[in-house]
Amino acid sequence: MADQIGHDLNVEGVTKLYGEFAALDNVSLTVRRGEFLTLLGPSGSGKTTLLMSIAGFVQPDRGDIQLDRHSIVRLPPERRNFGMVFQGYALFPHLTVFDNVAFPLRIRKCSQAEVQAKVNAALDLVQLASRADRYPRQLSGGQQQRVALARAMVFTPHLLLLDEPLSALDKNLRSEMQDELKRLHKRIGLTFIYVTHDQDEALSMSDRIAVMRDGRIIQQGSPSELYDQPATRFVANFLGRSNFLRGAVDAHIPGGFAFTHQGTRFTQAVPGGDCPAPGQDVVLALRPEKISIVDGGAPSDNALKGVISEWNYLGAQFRLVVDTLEFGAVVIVIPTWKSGAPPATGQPVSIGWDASAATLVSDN
Amino acid sequence: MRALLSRIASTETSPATDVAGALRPPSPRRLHGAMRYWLLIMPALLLMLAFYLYPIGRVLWISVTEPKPGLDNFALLATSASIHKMLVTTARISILTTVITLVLAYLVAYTLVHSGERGKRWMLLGVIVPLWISVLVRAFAWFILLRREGLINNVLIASGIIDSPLSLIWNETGVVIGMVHYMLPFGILPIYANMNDIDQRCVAAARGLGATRGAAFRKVFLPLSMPGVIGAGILVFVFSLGFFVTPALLGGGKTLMIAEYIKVQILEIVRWGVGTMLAATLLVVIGLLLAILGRIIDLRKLFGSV
Repeated sequence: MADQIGHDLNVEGVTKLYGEFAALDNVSLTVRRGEFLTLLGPSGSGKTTLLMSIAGFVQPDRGDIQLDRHSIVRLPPERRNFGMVFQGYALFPHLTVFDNVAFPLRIRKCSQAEVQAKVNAALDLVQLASRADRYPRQLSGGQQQRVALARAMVFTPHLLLLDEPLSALDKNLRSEMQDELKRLHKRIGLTFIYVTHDQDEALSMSDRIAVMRDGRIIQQGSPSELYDQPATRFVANFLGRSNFLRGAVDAHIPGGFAFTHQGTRFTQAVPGGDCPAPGQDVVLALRPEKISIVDGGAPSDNALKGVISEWNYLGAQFRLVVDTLEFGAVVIVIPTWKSGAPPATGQPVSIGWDASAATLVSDN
Repeated sequence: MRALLSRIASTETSPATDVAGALRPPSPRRLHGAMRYWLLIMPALLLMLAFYLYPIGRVLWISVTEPKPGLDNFALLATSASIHKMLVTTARISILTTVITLVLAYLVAYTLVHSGERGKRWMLLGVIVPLWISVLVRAFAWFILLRREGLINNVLIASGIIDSPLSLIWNETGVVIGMVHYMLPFGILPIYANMNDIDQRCVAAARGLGATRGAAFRKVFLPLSMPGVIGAGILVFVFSLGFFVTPALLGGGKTLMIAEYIKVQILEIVRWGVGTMLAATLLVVIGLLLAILGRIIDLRKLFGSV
């Protein structure tokens, strides 16, 4: 087990109760060797509790956690050999950068030469070799973050667990560190489990995302799967923004179904072919960027008339709110370069979208 | 998308306007800023000068002028056997009291920071209430417990653990017990305050990095709590050096510490020169200790342990 870099992790039916409240409710999750998995969810969704259960700081009431098929759920944190980057880094303030990074090696009774070599290599990796003699409080937030990372990786742990590691950094530094983390992950091949509430971070970094809510994993998949085929209204709105269209299924048509809302008929493609029955109420998630303004050009599969009630200039895009009779306010995002004349409030417009643009979601 | 934008917007702070500056009326007769603050502390400063610094100055003066001008009194420090004995006793009792107090205080403070809110409140009350009770009353309370026919000896004899009563009072043991009891809050509170500031995630991080409970305590928690221990140690040691009531009552006149010795010199033998010389010595020793330890603590702060 010690010679390979990445490891598989299985979480099976883990439940954690705090009194009546289930912080984790029968959670199952598989993390594959070398994967970058993100646990994404709002605060209180159980993502940190799940990470802490994996790390060994929280003891689940039910369920099992296995590393390469061996149960580790009863092991104390120090015997799991996982690297962990805490929110706020939790660097040891009384130790220098070097001694902080050397801590896990010295605990493992590595020889002085080995400590020296490994710490230097880890500090090189995070570009902090020149700061080895500093104390944590003498470093900037980004540098502290990198020390925490070096400390969590220096002993080649079985997994690297990261608890909102970038939340304390400002916007620019954060995206820089995102790229750096991603590079490190590729280079080292460790299995990463990353907790965040930031959808952009999750989308840009992960191989796979597990979206959590109320102690449960409600959907997992690659970032594009989650973005393009959200399973529920919650996922559609948590990862990016969505318009939600309601209607009742009218009839099945080739490759999908037709539905009506307030007398207007729309078509919706269903790639899997698993159409809801006629008469059933449905909710569709429609991304703002998949709606276009139709001005006499090629007609879309679906069209609506409305009036622009609000607009914002966002540099690369215009964001419009169009009031429609059928669905109320519909948010549209169009690239600035495509839009021609700037929009005006009160201007009547026709909007349209393809039958394959929206996704059927469950209404919760 | 909207959330993203509002996040960007919220990182841009609006330009700060100097509200305070705008509201302050320009007054030609306004006193110079620092001057006003001097006026505020003036009453306290005058009191200190009149009733504190002046008497101390007098004490120092008497120590080099009575019975005749010169350093004869201070020469006694090197020559007098009884003063030697008393100084050694004072140092021994003070060090012993400080060490025992720190160990007990550390245990209490450690339990305090790891208790729930309710338990913490009751325990803190238990720490602070003794501070409200006169040191005299507490010395007599110990007298009831520790004397030959006292509660402790009676229980020990009744349970057959000992045959003849232990002498727990009128000696150094009694003095140390009474002093440790008095000093405990002064040991607990600074250590507790310091431990409260220790980031518990550091201990968790240590365990996550492979340290057992014990190793995480030794290598992370203990070093991080040292500033509190040193602060408490100074406080307790300095109090102990000049402690009067408890040694006088529980020592039974046999265990003579410096404060009681000074009292005897001045009130009973009326040797003002020797008494003030010892008082001055105590002052200088404490000053030196504080200077030395102050440097150590500053160094530690510099290294980021707070």
